[in-house]
Amino acid sequence: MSESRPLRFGYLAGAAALLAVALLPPLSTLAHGILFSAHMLQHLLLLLGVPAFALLGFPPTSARRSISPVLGWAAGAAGMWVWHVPLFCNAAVRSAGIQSLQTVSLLGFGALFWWPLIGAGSERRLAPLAGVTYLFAGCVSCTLQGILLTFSPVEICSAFLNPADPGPVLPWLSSHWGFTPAADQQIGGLIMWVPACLVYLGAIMAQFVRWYGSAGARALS
Amino acid sequence: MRFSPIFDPVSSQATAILRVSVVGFVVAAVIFVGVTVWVVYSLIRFRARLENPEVEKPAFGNLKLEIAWTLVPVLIVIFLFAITARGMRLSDPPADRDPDILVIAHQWWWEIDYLHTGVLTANELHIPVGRKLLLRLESADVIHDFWAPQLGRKIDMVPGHPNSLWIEADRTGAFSGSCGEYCGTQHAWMRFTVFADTPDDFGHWQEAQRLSARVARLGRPLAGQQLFTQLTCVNCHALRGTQNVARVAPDLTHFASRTTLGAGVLPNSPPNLARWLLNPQDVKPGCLMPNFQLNTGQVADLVAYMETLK
Amino acid sequence: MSTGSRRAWLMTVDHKRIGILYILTALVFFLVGGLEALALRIQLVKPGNHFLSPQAFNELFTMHGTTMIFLVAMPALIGFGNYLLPLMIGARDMAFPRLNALGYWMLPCGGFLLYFSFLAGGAPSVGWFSYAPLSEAAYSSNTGVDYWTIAILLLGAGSVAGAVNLITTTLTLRAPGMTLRQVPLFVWMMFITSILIILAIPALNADVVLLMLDRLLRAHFFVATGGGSALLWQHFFWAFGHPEVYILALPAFGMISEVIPVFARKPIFGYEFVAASTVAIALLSLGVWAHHMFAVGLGRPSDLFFAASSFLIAVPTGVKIFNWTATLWGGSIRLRTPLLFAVAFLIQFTVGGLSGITFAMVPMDWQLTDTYYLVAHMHYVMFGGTLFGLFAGVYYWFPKMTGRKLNEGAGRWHFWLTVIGFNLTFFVQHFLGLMGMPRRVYTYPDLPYWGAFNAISTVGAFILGLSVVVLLVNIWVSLRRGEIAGDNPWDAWTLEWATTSPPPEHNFRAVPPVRSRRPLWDLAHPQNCDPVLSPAVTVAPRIKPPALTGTATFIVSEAMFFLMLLIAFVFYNVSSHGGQYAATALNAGRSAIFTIALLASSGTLWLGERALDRGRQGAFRLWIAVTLALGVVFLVGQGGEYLDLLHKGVVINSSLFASTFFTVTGFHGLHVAVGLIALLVLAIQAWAGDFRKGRTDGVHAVSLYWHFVDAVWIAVFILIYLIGPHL
Repeated sequence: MSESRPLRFGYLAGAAALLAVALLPPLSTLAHGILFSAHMLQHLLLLLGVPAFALLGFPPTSARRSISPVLGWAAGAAGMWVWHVPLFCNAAVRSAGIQSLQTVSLLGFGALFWWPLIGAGSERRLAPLAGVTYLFAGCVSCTLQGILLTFSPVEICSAFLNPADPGPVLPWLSSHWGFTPAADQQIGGLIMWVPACLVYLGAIMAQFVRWYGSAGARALS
Repeated sequence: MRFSPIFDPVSSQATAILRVSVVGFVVAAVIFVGVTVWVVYSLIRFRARLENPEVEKPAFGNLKLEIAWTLVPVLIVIFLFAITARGMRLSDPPADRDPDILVIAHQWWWEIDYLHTGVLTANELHIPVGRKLLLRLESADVIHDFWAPQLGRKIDMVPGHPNSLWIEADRTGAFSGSCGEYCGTQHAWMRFTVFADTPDDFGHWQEAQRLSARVARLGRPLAGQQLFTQLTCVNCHALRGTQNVARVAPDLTHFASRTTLGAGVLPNSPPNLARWLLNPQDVKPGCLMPNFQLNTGQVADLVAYMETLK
Repeated sequence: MSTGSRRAWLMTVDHKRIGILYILTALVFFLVGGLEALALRIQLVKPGNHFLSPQAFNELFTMHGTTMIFLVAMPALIGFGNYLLPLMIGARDMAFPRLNALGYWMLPCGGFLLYFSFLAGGAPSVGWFSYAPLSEAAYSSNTGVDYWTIAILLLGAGSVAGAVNLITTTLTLRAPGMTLRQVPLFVWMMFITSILIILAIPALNADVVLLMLDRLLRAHFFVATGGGSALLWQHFFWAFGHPEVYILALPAFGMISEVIPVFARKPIFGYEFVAASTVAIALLSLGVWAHHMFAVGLGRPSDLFFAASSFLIAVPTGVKIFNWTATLWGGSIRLRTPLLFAVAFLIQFTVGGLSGITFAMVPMDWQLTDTYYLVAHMHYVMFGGTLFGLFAGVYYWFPKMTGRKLNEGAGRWHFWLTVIGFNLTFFVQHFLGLMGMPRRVYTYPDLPYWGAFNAISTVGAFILGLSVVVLLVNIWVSLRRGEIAGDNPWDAWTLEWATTSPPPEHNFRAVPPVRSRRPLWDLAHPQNCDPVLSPAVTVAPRIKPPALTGTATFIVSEAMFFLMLLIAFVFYNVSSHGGQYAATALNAGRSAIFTIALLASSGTLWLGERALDRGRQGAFRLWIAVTLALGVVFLVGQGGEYLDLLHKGVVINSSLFASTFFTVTGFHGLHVAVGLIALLVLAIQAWAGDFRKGRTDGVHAVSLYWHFVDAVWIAVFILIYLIGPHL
């Protein structure tokens, strides 16, 4: 959360923009049973992107309560893992209702995950180095899932195998890039692994900015 | 061949790699010169002139500079990444059909199997100029790596993990290659040659290679041919058209048409072949062909026979 | 040296002596590894040379690489860390002096075992990364690789012990007023390095353990014909191997960050950025390993993503280079030997970094990997970078360690010979790679220029050899006749210069007050102090006791090890073949019974701790006895399950399921057994009344470990017994 109003509005606008990218075509169309990798991108935007920006846009108070970091971490991990249990993943592709549930739950899990770092009042947030550990632990969970998806010979989400209406993108990708469902899942796993970790890494660097910035005197001239 | 095979590409794939490489080298050189000049200039300009002068009002840092020299490298690597992604697509197009040639790496030689024509050879790959062929790359034992730098990328040959590679050449010639992954004692002599022939030459070569092994009728070649079966050569080496079909060691059906011995260790000539047969371990220590303790008469017979295997 | 003082060195637990032992051992192995390199270069001086047999050549380059990485660079850097880190943070010693000695002695033992292989039928000849299946018994039948695996495990254990110690020392023993935000950069970088060590070494250990099981018990982890995967070796190895590059580079970065400011008479430029970029490098280094495998054929997507993450490492590395150079800018530079080496480091490391970027450009990697271009790249990083940094450190801290300065003139000779020899040897190797020369070939065909360039490289290697002789003579002579250094010969600003040279056994008579990053500058310039970063403190802040911090750190490393084993389990069992085995062989219901016993033991131990904290000794003794009993029940249950499986004919090499099952549960059982021994010791202490004085750190540490062992079992049970049968 930020002290300056324009910056806060900027964050909120960012959250709205990311939400729009995640929930509007083309991403939403592709993510709905056509491309697993697009689904993964949407998943990450909803879990890591939108909630973080929304919380940054909250008006500042120092008193807002925090939650247990264990709970926050567990929520983050749940957001990563639960919807990639094959049963749930397929259900979300097949039923619009479950898909809405998925969207809402990802936003919720994401908010819980970011809460100890940016949701809680400035006095009650995790200390910077504890925040680094928290984020690193989050990154481990998501890396593991990324590795699993990338190298797994098994289809995690079989609903993406034979899309009812493949649209124009999938045929184009397979004819021009030799794109296969296996490559699709690999890319999904790699999105979860590499760019997602960069989000955590960026947040870790932000913790360092906070840490060094809060020193008794700023060393930078 | 020029100074560097990488700078003398003969295929569109290798040319794509060269283009990427030139960008890479230029960017690296510019950054290197920049940093070096900055460092050396600082050393000269700020060399202490007096004994023990302290810097009284030093700069502890500068936020704007830090942001600048974080962002500029980010932009540079984004540029390099774009070049890389494009270069990868051009230099290694995905395989979209069945392979033409199966290459199986062995410790320390290459088995080359033309899947559509049944031609089986070793250490020398013939391709027609201007036509793209698809290789399937496998290993019979440890990890090897197929690398002909003038033709394109290197690619590992991993047991249990077959790979594919397009191969083509836009001019005729003999282009050398080698094993790129350390694979044991004789990794150094696991070389091969890719011959890019005119379509006609390639056709003739292929027709000749499809024939069965020539049968010796008389004299030393006949004696050599008998020795070849008696001395257990056939336990490992195949001669197509006979009962001997082992694929443990190189197929010798058209041995005399090849240019080297032992995957590049010697040029293929009768004296060299005699040297090899007298004791392969002397020529290529550690290779899997044992010393059969042949006497010079036997060697002469075998050489006479094998020289007929055109 | 009298016999008594020699014994004192052997028995020492003083961090300074242990540090020097590390450095001297590394120096000995440096000479050995250097001679091996010279032999290799002689063999390659001309095409078709017969100086070495192919087998000898292959053994020597394997030993050269293993030696230089595991027996030279790591011990030398850990040795400097050991010597300097407590001094730089104003501590008396490391947090765990005895563990420190143990960690050191693993090094000569590991080195001895590795080199003993020469006498036991031949050294390993599989390269320092020992790729399977070449390193499998079928292709490397002598015992060389076996000695290699045991040595690597010992050296890894020693490194983890050292890293746990360095982390705990940094976290718990800093002088009053020294926050983590203002530790000297060498301390910060040793700290981050140590974190990398505890995270990365377990991947290597897991890999090596699987290879040992393949070789000694005929499992098939890496043998394709048995369903194993040659690529998993590479994944695990580079999951260690790439962080390892930074484990070797970061401490050298730290040394440079101390040397450059002192000789430019300026504080480091952008401390915060140098420090934070270290964290970024360390974290990124954990996620880029597959760039060592671009030639393997992992597929387009994975090559692209790993290229992207590898490119990104260039950014924080660039930030460092720029800040170091900016530190020189505007300084009052004294070009003494330490700075000469530091500047050469700066330029040569840039070369290594830039050629590294060319490897992230995947098509270039496809041409140049495993050629002499890569050999050049790696040596510019490891030698032009790490070793030059170490040399800077040697010249800079030698006066502190010995009380005498190294001779400056000889230092300059050493410097110039090293720079010339190094660049002559390795710069031409870039061209050899571009000319198509693969690495690790014992000889090469007589192609145009190949002989000439190799000859130049060999000449360079001999100049390097000469430079080492100059260094040795300089050390020898300076130790006896060198200029007396005094406390602070370089007018430096960190705490190690606030005591005598060499420091007394207890390090400091009094630690100066610490308010900024340069306490000795503040002391000398009271009118012109650095920005104050910490409030005046007179008592050390309350921090967790070292025993708990150390145990927690160790547990993180153990957790990584089990994580790797569990990844291997999943990897090998996500196929119907393995799954059916799990489904038919395991009896989850029965295992649940002894699982409950183990979980309950965590509860009873917690109750015991609570009783102890409340001073109820009797209750504590009771609960710890119950905990022991429950632990034994678990082990007996697991033993019963093993017997049952053996009865069904399921042994460690019967299938990949069985191999992974016995490996994971076996290692877990081993940890339970170790925990039980620790609990038994606690029980004996409790009966002897040792905890009456309230010294309960040990109890809490053991209990933390025990809870961890339980937590691992929960993961194992869920994954292997509950999910496994359905994979």
